[in-house]
Amino acid sequence: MVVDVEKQVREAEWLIGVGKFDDAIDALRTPDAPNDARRCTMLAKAYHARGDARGDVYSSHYFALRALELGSTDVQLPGIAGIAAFRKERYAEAIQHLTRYVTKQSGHASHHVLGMAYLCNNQPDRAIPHLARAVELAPKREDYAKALADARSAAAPKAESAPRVWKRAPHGLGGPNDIRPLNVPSPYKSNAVSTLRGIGTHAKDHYWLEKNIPCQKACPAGTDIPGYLGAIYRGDYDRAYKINLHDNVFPAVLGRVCSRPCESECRHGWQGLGEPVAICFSKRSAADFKTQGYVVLDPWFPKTGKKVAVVGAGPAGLATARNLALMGHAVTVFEKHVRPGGMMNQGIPEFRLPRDIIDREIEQIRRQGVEIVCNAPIGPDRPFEKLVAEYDAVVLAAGTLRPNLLNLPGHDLKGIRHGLPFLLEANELRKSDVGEHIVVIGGGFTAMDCARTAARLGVDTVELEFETTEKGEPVILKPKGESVKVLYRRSQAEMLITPGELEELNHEGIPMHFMVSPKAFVDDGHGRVKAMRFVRTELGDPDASGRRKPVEVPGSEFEVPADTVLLATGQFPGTEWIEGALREKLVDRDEWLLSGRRQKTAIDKVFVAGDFATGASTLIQAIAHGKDAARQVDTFLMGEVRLTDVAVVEDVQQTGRIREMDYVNRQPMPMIPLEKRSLTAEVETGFDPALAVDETQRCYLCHFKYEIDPDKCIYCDWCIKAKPRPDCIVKVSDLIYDGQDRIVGYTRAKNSENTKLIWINQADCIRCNACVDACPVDAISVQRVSKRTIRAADQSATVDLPVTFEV
Amino acid sequence: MPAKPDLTAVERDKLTINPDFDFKNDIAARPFEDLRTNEIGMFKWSGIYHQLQKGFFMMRLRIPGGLVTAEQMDVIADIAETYAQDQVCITTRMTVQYHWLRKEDLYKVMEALERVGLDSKNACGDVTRNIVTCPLQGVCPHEVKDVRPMMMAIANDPEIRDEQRNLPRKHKMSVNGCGRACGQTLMNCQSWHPVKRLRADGTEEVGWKFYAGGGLGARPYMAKAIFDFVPESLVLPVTRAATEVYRRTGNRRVRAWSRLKVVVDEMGARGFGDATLEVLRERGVTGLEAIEFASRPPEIGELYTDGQDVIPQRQQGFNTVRVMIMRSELTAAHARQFAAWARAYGDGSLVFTARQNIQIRFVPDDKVPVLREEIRKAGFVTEGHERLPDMVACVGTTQCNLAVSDTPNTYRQLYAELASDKVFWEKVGQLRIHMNGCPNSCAQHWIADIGLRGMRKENEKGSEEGFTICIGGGLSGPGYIGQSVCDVPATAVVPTVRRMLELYLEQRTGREETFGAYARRIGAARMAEMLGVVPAPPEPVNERNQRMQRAFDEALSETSPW
Repeated sequence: MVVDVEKQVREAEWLIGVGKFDDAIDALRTPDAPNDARRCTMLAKAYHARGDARGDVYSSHYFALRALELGSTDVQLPGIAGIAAFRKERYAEAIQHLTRYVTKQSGHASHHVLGMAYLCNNQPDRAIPHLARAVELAPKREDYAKALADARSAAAPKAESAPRVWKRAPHGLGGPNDIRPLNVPSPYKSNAVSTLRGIGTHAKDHYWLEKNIPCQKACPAGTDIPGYLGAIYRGDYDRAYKINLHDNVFPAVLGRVCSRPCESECRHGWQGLGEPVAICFSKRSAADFKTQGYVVLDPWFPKTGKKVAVVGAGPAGLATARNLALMGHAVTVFEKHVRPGGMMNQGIPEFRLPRDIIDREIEQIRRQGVEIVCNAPIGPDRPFEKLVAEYDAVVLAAGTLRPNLLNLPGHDLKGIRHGLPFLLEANELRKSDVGEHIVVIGGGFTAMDCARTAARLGVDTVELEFETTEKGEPVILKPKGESVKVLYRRSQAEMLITPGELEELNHEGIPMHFMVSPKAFVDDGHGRVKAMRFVRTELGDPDASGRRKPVEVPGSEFEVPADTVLLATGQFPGTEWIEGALREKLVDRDEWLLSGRRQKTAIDKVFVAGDFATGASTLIQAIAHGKDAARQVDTFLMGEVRLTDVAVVEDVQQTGRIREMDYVNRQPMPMIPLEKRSLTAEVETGFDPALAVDETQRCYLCHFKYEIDPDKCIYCDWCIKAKPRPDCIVKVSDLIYDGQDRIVGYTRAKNSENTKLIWINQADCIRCNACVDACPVDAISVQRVSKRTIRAADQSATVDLPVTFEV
Repeated sequence: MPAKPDLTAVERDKLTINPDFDFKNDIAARPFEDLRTNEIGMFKWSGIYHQLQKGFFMMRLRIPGGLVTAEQMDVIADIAETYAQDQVCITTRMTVQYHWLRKEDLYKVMEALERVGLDSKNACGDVTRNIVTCPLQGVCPHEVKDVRPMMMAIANDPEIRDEQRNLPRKHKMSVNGCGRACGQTLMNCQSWHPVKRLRADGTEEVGWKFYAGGGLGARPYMAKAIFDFVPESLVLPVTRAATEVYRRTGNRRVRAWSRLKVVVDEMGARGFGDATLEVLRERGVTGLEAIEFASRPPEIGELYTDGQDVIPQRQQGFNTVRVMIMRSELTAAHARQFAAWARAYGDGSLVFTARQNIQIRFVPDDKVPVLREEIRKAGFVTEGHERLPDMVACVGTTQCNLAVSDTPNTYRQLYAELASDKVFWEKVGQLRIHMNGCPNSCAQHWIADIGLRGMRKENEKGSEEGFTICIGGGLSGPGYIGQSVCDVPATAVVPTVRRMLELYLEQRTGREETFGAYARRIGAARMAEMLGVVPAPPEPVNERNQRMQRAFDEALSETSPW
């Protein structure tokens, strides 16, 4: 085969010209070994143009010399060889090549490079003419002027400048087997958290927690999710329950009915990483399998002698009360209902949340020292003013009991009910008067619960009395087709429900209609509703809630037959019981509180918690709001902030995970079959211990921090070769910090010389440990960083802190 | 159930990809882009790595003991000239490697090698690699017995070479002629050397001593003595059985912990010996009672090769002439020159040494002066073996995918600055400087008197190339792993090494205290303390190069724009 070298060279020349250096090299390599001067010349040019990546400088130098040896007369070759030698600090050789390249006619850059070679070779006298020529030809170039000045100063006798040294921090981050000193500040700005080990209180510590543990950030109560999932995986249910109990007050309840904002943020559910961990289902297993009886937490503080009254024994009131008790205060909760629990037992059907579960966790709160008084409405017999007078602080947690009714034509017809009283009645009495054709209006939790409860009631009253469960309860043998319908004016995306709830509705045969808006209740001629008139809608611009607003489609009205309409259209705080002077200070004219969503009110000793302040929300939001309220009450009572949230940084050697765990599928919740479903039979049966392991092992355990010690890293890139994601480990030329030294971004390095750090981008890291396994110099440390609430007085403690912080 | 560990990608490849590729009809015919990374990874079993420069390959040969004939050397030269940009490099495992090979030429190289009885099979990959021995194999006056037959028997054993090709990781063996350090006994996975013992009847019996569990890499271990005495007939069965123990028990999950050194460290010497005997029993091997377990830790003798440029052989009237090869690089012309010298002055054989040099064997006494003169005229150096000029370096960032630092460059700087001062290095005496571009230890920095390991370090505008400097490594006695003194920018290596040597000259107890012994006496921490601040140029070179990038670009365009 005759190789057309000229053709190859022309092609390579063109490719180099358009910046396709690798293609040029490919072209030169094909179809035989490039052993001639022409192709070696072009290889030198291609590698030179390619840049400073490892091997390129060497290759340009190698092929330039080889081409010269093979007889190439290309004028650029000495320039290429000279620049490469310069870059490799071989200045004498650089001078040798560059003096063949630079002539009197050469341009400024050529003279500058040759001058610099002389200067670096400690020949300032020889450097000066070339550097001066460069300045003469390009007087505006500041770098040229500086180089000339440097050469002139080097030529003059002077004292030796101070040597430059490579410094290491007294204690770097160390590697996976290192034990770091306690409560010593991290040595570098680039460190992810502020302390080597111990308690971090800086803004960057809190920022790390928020960016890195997305589930905990998404949980309004800030629950330590990786902490308890890890404990469940290890079979330590007691510990898992306790971790959970600290932050969320009702682990068993929330393990069943939480709205799960954590799961939509779970790193495992990110694009390409599979499905989120079933956090909620897993959490329930800790409650199901724990061996302790009632769990009483160690109080943060001894008894203070302060008395606090809480109005309302719903989730917010009880959470506030529990935490106030942990702070040493004497708390009494007044509940107007016959039993405590609020929305937990008045709103949520028993088939989703068995009552003994609620009772047990409320009893736990009692044992924590909280007194709960039921059948104790605030009113004439127990005036609000008296509470305010007798207690050191009063917390209002009265929930949302004022229904939002649809003011449509026919709204006073019989058969129209609000969903909440309906659910209360059904939950308390296990029956309720409903017709055969029920329409539920709404798209939230209440709508789902109304529909599923109504479906069960409908069957109960109409036709299936002969079929019973083992407990003798009526059941649904088969769904009643379209006897219950749910209609919602927005789309599925706008629904505020628990994931999986809609699927279950569908499973139970209850149709759901979207994008329809109620227009009127239709009278049957006898004062009872016979149908509901709707108009179809389409989504318009977002409204104040951020959800897109439905816009009616003209001429699309239609009627749906109904003898019962359940309105699940929201509810508001009922403030009618706040009277007199206090009312003026607390309640606005629209019946809402003047203090808005805040816990503090215009009266120093009166605070608000949960839905009563925020309007209807979720259980976990109510709990979180109540916990914050407790902190504020405590500060008010004690005149100081006694608790603080910190990041606890602990050394670990092993995470206990293997990569294969990442590939396990999400485990579905086991459920009872349709034919066994009733008003009281719990639909979701919970994970068994084996399923709990299957599921909890999937958690990436985002509280582990993988960080490269810049003092130990040698930039070998082995971690980069092992990394599972494109951006989890990056070469950066700079990290971007905000005013509080928080790392808010990074700039990718352009080449090896401006690579400042090989940096684990922790927000993208999936904690797979591949980098630790690959690192040849043990430069990658693994630490656990956890959010904890501790006594403010302890945060400055520098001695006697345990290596591992137990919850 | 907790998820079970699955095969790693590498282990899966090892089970599913046949390492014996058809380089002629398959690999050469397919476009480069069609070659899967996994396939290229398995090229190693044929001694082939993809080199740093995309589309070019490195091929390492399998030359047990590094011994080649002049005819083979000529072919090695021809290949370099035709396919490898006129270059061949001597490795630290007594063989050679080519760079710049095109995949289209790989089979041609293999065919050319095969014609003269050479190959590249098992030169790389998770197999038993090229077996090393002493540089003076078969000719050394200290050799207990000629080591080559045993070495070749192990090297060409069908079980070890052809069947055990799926080991957890690379596996290295050394077979030496005596208990001295020349053959690097303590840094190999398995090592042997002959020993004598007295029979009950008072007669002398020659057998072999067995070591296992040495290895350098990123985490170095010195070998443990396993058996003090193995009868000659059992050496091969024991080697096979020890390899089998490794195959069964090595960590295939994390490659950093997969070498035999970890297995032996975990089992202990006795445990590994027992496991080996267990396999032998399983295989029905008899006579095991003659095997003696090791009674004490290794105690290896000093190097016999210590500065001599000509070594009189055991064979009366013949000599081995030692020639240093600058940075281990040979051109085709150089290689042919050595072949010619071997034919003209020796017995036609040459040895590639682990110090990346060449030895010409069986040179009669009367021809030595002429040969030395020819060597000198050809520009090669014969003085300074095991001294400062005799440095060992890997290819570093020039051609290796793993390297961080440009070791050949640092080699040349050290050579230019320090090797030229013969008075100085002669005063220093025995000194082995090894430099490695990455944490692996191809250039064996851990066992050097002064070892450099490549690194980069962050600075204001990026990072700068540098080295971690270790001192006090060595393979004599119980074996010593170099201890880290300091990290320095590459530009500060020469002054740092010079300063350490000056300190040594000031402080040594006498000429008999080598630098290595001195380093071990004072320790790395004390050395660091005495070094104090190592002077480096005021501006880091990476910052300077970035600043000058515009001028570099413009300087070339000032001749003719492309």
